Amino acid sequence: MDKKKILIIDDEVDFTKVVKLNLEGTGKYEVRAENKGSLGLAVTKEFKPDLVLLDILMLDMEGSEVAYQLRSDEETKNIPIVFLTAVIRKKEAEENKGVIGGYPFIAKPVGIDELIEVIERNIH
Amino acid sequence: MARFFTTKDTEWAKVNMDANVLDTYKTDVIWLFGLDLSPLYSINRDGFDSLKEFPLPRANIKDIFKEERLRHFFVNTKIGLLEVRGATVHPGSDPERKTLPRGYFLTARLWGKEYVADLEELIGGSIQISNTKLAIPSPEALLKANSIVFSRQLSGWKGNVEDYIYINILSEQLQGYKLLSRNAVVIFIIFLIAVIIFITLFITTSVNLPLAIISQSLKKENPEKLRGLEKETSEFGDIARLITSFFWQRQVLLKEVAERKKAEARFQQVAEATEEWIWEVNKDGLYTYSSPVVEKILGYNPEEIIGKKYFYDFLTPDVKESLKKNALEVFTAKKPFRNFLNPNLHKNGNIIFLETSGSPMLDKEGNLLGYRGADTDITERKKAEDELKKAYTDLKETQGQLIQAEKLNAVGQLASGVAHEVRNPLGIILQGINYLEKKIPPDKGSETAEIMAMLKGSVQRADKIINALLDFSRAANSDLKLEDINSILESSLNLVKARFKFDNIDVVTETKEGLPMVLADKNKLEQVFINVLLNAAQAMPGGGKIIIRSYAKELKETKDGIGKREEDHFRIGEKAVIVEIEDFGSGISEENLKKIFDPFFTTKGPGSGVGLGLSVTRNIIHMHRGLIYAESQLGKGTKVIIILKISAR
Repeated sequence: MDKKKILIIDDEVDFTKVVKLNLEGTGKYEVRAENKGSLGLAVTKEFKPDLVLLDILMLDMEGSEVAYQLRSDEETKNIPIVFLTAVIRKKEAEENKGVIGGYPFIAKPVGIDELIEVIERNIH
Repeated sequence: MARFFTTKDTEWAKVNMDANVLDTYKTDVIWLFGLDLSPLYSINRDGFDSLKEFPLPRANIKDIFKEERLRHFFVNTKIGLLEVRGATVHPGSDPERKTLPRGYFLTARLWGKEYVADLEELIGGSIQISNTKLAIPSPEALLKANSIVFSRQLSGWKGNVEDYIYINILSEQLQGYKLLSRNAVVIFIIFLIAVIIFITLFITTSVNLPLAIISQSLKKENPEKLRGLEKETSEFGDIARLITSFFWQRQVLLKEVAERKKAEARFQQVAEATEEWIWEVNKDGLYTYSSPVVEKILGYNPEEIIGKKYFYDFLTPDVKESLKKNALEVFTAKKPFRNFLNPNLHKNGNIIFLETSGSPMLDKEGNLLGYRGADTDITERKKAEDELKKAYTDLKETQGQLIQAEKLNAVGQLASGVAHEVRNPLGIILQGINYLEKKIPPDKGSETAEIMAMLKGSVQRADKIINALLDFSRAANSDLKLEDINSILESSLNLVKARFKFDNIDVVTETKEGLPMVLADKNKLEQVFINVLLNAAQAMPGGGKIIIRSYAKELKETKDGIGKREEDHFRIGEKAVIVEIEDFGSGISEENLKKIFDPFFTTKGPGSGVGLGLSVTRNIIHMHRGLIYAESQLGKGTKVIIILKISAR
């Protein structure tokens, strides 16, 4: 069974590092971490992930903008995006059944088990 | 003498009737004839021998004396005209010559040149003898020549005309008379003129002058001219006094009429110019006067009202009876009333609120004639008042919300800032714990496992605390939904519309249809727009125009918040939705423009504002990851530009 490719875009370097370790530790995922929103599209095109974990508040480019770019590009428009952000609260994500503005959301802080669950739910 | 005719004594005759007798009788010849007509004697002056013979046939002598005993006549002879005198001869005892004559005595004088010259000398004029009738010069010519001309017939013995004698006398008296008569004429004329002048003067002074004065005073309508005449006792004096009194009365009347006209005109003008409906009713409430403005207020023209409608006819049916009763009670008390609010039905069925004031009209005895007063249409005012009240309440509420929002915003901003900054490390910690649990799995029940669980629990607790803090400022927290910016603008405008109407502000909306949706908190953006709109209105205290625009565009200019820096909200080339709110009011100085979004900055002076409005506005926009800035020119106006992110979808 091929490993699922997960791209995590978040400007918190430490966070991407530990999430990558944890996901890859399961043996089910190949994870690539990107810390600049502005590079998100290019990396996505190169890496061709099965799912993108996207932070919202990034200093160089907003997650929503990255999502807009991905959705606007033929190559990337079908790749599922899950927002992983400290901007919203768990409660809000729960209230909206994990979907805000049409996107699945995960509120930070999030444990690995929950993260995997959401990935699995959204991955094709 | 008679004796002679008997004696026929020629000698006696010669002695007693010589040439001296001729002189005595101043005659030229004497003839004596007997009764039988025989010449008894004759004597003539020397040189008059041709007269020896009687110039007429002797037979005629008897006839000459047939009727009269004394004759005087003329006879033309060869040598000239003879003047003949004759008498029958009688005895001395018969002086009356009643007896038969004894003979005839005749004597004659020749009217020769000498004699005529003598006569002319005697009368002082000229004498002309003519056997034809001569023309007598015209009286004018005679008068001019101072001559008097007259003629006589010189008769023959039969009474025939022998000759005509013309006598022309140059008369000094005539000259005198002439002068006298000329003077008389002159005097008469002078007298006449004097009389005419006198009469004229008399008429002028005593008739014409007064008449002229009277006519002039009547023409000029000026009784001043009659002052002198009034003192006279004549009829003119009476007339003058009458006219003066007439003038006086007329003036009083005219003045009265003018005053009345003026008052009436004034009243008409006021009644027509005023927005108030001026009316009069009789004591039963029937209209007797209505100013034309009533048509604008109730839809009826004065003709439809005067004499046809009672004041209560216009009242709405629900209040008609009770208000009629109240009003008629006031009528009975003859009391004035002020600002009495009453609903009326317009001809078109709309309800018109009138504020009525009236005063009773009383006659001398104090009986009520009717009422006079004015109505003000306060329908619009009432509506405006109601709207204003509502607007005020809404604004109060909005203001309260705004202040509350400001407070909560501060907390919320802090909370969400803290939340973001704390949650990220919490995320790392949690993932780290997950990593460690996997890398070094602790034995169950071991201390390591216990510590790991403690760490996880603490992460959860910290997250909980942050969530609680965010819950507390939930109102301030963004409730982002996909929104159409135009509908938010519209709802914001609805909230300030009533206030704007009151402030005389016109709003022009130039919004583009079909704009991309924005991810926005509707309530928050409403606060922003209201805030900006109210600031724009305050910049135009006398009223004015506000333009609201909305459109989408690609951002091309580098600006504060737009560019390539990491902290910029928008990138060059990014498409965004833009809202502009422009006023044409007082404007903001360059210096102040930099500070308007700073907290607690205000130009409104103490008491009018706390200066939180625009800083809250900016915070809200920043919360939407948008931008807000203002462009302004002093005295020309201000434009606030808000740039919002387009939703990702």
